[in-house]
Amino acid sequence: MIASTAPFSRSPDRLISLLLLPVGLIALGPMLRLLGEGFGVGSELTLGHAAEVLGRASTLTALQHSLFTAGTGTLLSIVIGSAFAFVVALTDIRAKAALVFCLMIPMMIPPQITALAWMQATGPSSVLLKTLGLAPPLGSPQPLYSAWGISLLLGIQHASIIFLTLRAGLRMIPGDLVEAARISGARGWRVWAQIVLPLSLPSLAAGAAMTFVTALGNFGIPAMLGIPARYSTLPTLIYQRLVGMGQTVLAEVAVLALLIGVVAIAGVLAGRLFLQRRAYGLVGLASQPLSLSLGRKRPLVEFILWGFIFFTLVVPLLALVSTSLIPAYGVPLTLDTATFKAWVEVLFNQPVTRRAYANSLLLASAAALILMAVCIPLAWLMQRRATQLTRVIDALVDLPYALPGVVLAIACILAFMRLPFGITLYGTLTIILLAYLSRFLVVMLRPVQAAIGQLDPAMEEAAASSGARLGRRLFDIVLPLSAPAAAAGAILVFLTAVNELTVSALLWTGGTETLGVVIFNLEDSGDTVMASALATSIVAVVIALMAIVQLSASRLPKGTVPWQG
Amino acid sequence: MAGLTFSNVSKLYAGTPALDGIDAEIAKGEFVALLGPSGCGKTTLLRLTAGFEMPDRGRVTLGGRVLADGTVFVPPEDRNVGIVFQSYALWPHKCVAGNVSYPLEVRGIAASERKRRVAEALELTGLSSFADRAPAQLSGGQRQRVALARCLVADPQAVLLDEPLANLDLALRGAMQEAFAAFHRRTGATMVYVTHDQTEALALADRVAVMESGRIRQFAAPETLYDQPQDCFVAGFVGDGAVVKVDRAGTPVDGEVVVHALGQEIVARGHGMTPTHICIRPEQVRVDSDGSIIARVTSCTYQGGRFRVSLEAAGETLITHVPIRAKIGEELRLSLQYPWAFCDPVGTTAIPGQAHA
Amino acid sequence: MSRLTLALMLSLSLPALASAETLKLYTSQPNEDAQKTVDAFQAANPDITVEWVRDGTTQLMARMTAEMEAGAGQPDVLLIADTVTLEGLAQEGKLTAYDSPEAEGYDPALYSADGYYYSTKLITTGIVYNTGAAEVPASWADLEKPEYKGMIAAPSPLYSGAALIHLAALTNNPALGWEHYEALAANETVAQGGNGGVFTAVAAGEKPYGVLVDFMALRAKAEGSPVDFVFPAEGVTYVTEPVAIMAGAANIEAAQKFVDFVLSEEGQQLVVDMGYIPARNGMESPEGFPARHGITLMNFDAAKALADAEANKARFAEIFGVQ
Repeated sequence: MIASTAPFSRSPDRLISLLLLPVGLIALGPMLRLLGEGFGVGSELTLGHAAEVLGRASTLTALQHSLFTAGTGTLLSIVIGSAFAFVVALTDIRAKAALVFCLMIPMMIPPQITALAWMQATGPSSVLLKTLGLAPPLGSPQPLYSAWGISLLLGIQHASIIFLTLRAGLRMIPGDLVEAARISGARGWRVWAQIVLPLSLPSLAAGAAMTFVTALGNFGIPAMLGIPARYSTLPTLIYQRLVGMGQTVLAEVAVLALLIGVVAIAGVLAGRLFLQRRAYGLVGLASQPLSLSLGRKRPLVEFILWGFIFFTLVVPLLALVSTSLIPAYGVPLTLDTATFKAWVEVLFNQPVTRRAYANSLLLASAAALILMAVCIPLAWLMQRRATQLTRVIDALVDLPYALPGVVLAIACILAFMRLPFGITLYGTLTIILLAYLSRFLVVMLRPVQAAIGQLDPAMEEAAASSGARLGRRLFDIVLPLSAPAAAAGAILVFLTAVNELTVSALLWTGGTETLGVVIFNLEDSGDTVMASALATSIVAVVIALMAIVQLSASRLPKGTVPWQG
Repeated sequence: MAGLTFSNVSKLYAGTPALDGIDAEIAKGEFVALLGPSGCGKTTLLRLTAGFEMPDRGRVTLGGRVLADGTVFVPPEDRNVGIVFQSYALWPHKCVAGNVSYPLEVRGIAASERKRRVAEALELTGLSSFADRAPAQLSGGQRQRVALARCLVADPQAVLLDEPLANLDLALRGAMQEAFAAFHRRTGATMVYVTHDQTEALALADRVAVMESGRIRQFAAPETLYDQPQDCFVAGFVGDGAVVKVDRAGTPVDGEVVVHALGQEIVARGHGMTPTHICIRPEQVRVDSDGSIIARVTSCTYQGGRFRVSLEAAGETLITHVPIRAKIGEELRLSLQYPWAFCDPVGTTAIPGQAHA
Repeated sequence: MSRLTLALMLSLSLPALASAETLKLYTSQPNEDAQKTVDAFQAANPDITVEWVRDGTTQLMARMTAEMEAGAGQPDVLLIADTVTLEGLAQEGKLTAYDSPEAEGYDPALYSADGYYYSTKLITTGIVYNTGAAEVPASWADLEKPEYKGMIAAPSPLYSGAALIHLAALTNNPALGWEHYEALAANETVAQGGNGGVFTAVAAGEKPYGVLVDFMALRAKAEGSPVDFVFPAEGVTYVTEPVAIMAGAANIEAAQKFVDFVLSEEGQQLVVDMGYIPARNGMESPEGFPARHGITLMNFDAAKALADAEANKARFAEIFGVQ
């Protein structure tokens, strides 16, 4: 009787399994260390911390606030994202590529810059409003410093997640389902409401779950808008505790982080559940995608969509730019007062800016490349050699992304501060890189998993029958066919990492500042004008990078550009 | 001289046997079809031969070399068999020539030699002018042939085909069947062909293994399967006609035996054990005004040049062909011309449906 | 992968470089000022390179603790907001004494007798207001009036060293005491974050009045911001941004040169140019500032402030409902 091992278990497979070890350590190690800290591993195992922290009024309030802002923010994202997704995927409006590009930009701009820009646009001192003569009177509260302000910005920031997920789901609906409905007599709205909408609900639900989790962990927006209004959410509560009280509250903070983690996991699982249901009945059907004609209503719809883009993207960015051009904060912008002084100072005079740009670009590129190299074999392993271990890792790998960056930073400090042989990584670029690898693994992994999941296993079997061994098969067959997805993942990782703030906020030290940290510092010491100048330069770089990718889209294989699918 | 042999090969999936004690010998250069309904294990057996599955029991050898048994397992990369998948499995990022030359690249064959052999394979399958096309630009039949070319470019010891024509339309199937037959004649390769379509199996193969529930029911030439089925399943699955249980029977002597069925004494062909059933093919049923069997017409279908008539006699359904349309309910007298009698082994399953249009 | 190794090696080798000609400085000055100080020092001492980190005082302290625990190296010199924090560090034995020759030009009250730290500036905390505001406050007590309800921003002592000292000084002032803070809280004063946030809020007009350090307001006013600054009648509190050398500094010599530099006339003139009142005797205040003798400084007991620091923070948190 032959032992029932898989027919392919030989040493190359064992080598690949070894891949799981460093991935597990880097992606999940910090989280586990944090978990341990929360329950007193290392001193004495106790639930005392947990009980005490969870019982506090501040914790419950922050939890309520978090759930409220994340919930309403998600609802808003659903409205915006689904409106765009339905119109872009199902109708014949013009300039779709440009519209999608503009919709994606807020996703790539770090939340604290978004908040900064909106703050500059509204309120009594808005340079923009002052110049237009529309500023509200002195002493009026900044309307964004409120729960609704936070929800509004969260909603706009994450609308693109709903858009991407829903659009992918809509593309899977074959045209003949709609034709059958129309032949049966259903017209216009009916077709949409009774056929398209029900079939797209699973995708929508999956997107909503992801959005909720992301909004829950968002730090930048509640930090900018909530702290002045004394409206704390779980991420800002953690940050304030840590900053105000020093290292002694790590155990408490660990418990708070776990609280977020539990809610986040619930959200992730819910999303996973909906995604599985989405595939039901639609897999394998290849026909022309749906396209409805809007007729005379088309210009109106286009006007509404572009108008929305104008108010949510152009206006805040204009505000940011105007603030960067004034000589001192509070001075209205006119042709006389406009100056590039802040730009010169922050970009050219201060070496910290150059360092930050270099650090951010280096870290983002390194993270993108390393993750590409790791995720292709990892995704292959999870798909073709699924074991209990890979399934567990698959479920947990969402965590470092879903949890607030503050939490991950703390976890990394705990995990990497004291390593064997007296090495410490605290205060080095390496610890930030490891934190990025942990955080963005899932951003790279999911698209590659999807691509490999769609690969006909017969292709690899054909290669095996042709005589190619595992390594060769991975390189000749799996890699080329999953490369577009991997490239898309790399682009996403790069753009997100290059202006990441919350993780590096706690991990940086002299010499390892990142762009996000510098902006935060400038704002913190009252240099709003310089902060705006630096922020604008970053936005310009991000848009330029996105534009380069967009313009090369025709030359790249299908699926490389993340937002064009 | 050894081709491909299976010795008591078994495979279990979660406790249920997908293959149950398969014993078969396929001679070198033979074209064998694995025929059976879905779930009978034919694809499993094919994948086992290719090396994508491991047998739980038994042994597989090819050309005298053991491919798999209790101690040895040769991986697919080293078996030197070619396989044509149902989905063709062409690599979309390589052109036709790239797909076909891959097995040679893997074996480290020099570029000039590769080019020559690829050109040869493409010529053999009629694809020489398509060498630089991408698979996405080819029709189903063309992709089929690319898969075949890729299969034989490395001179495999056996060529395995997994329902290769399942995705093609009827007209194309005919042409491809001829292509396979011609291919076999020209190359003399050992071919194992999995299909659920008995017409295809009977037309192409030297011998057909009829499989059901993980077992080979009968492994013989197509004519033998048709004329002398060994059990109810084969009799019902292959060819048209009726399988009737006998009430009592004598012992076969000199290839003939007398059985009592349909309320008659019938002389049938047979040998070996006392028969339990007879298999009555349509051509063995004659409409005869002197015939002793009285039957009533229950359906009549035109088949182009003749009518297939279903008749009910003594509680059984008989099939025959007539030149002129028969009326439903019409009474006819029939006589049987030497049907085949056989003993169905104990414990076999039900007779598969006999509705072959 | 090699970039990673390079980065790793670079960062791990920094301590080695430090012993050559590198000086590590931690400061809570605004970025621009830190840059100017470092630039000037490096110009005067071309063989020394300064690496500096800027953060709020509390964060700097937390960072230093973490780094020391991790054995990840430490700064050589500190140039941070207040003497109370440095007094605390000195008592913990974390500073190195140095007898600077420049001390002669200073009032003894402005430096530690043992030479652990030396004041470099005089940064006072007063009231800033937006020029479009309805009222012009003249005293701390004015902020308790109903006209100012919901219109005041202040830095938080939990975050800013200067604000903590301000708290200690005011609560020990019989005319103001803790009642003043309770009244501010009742007047819906927003006390969050540091001075930077207060300035932004006042200049923006969201909170027309604020408690702020002098240089931030006066510097911005000089550049055209619609703000103005008041030295309240009861007096101002002050921090002196002292400089100190850490115990265990890798480069003692360079650190001493740095201390001497910032205390020298040249260094103090730079302070004036940057828009701060210099600590050194006999120097002119920058433009827009009153002369030193014209400013009423509130009494302040540094030792008592140090002893009461935690209790003060806790009480403040309670009054202002900070979690």
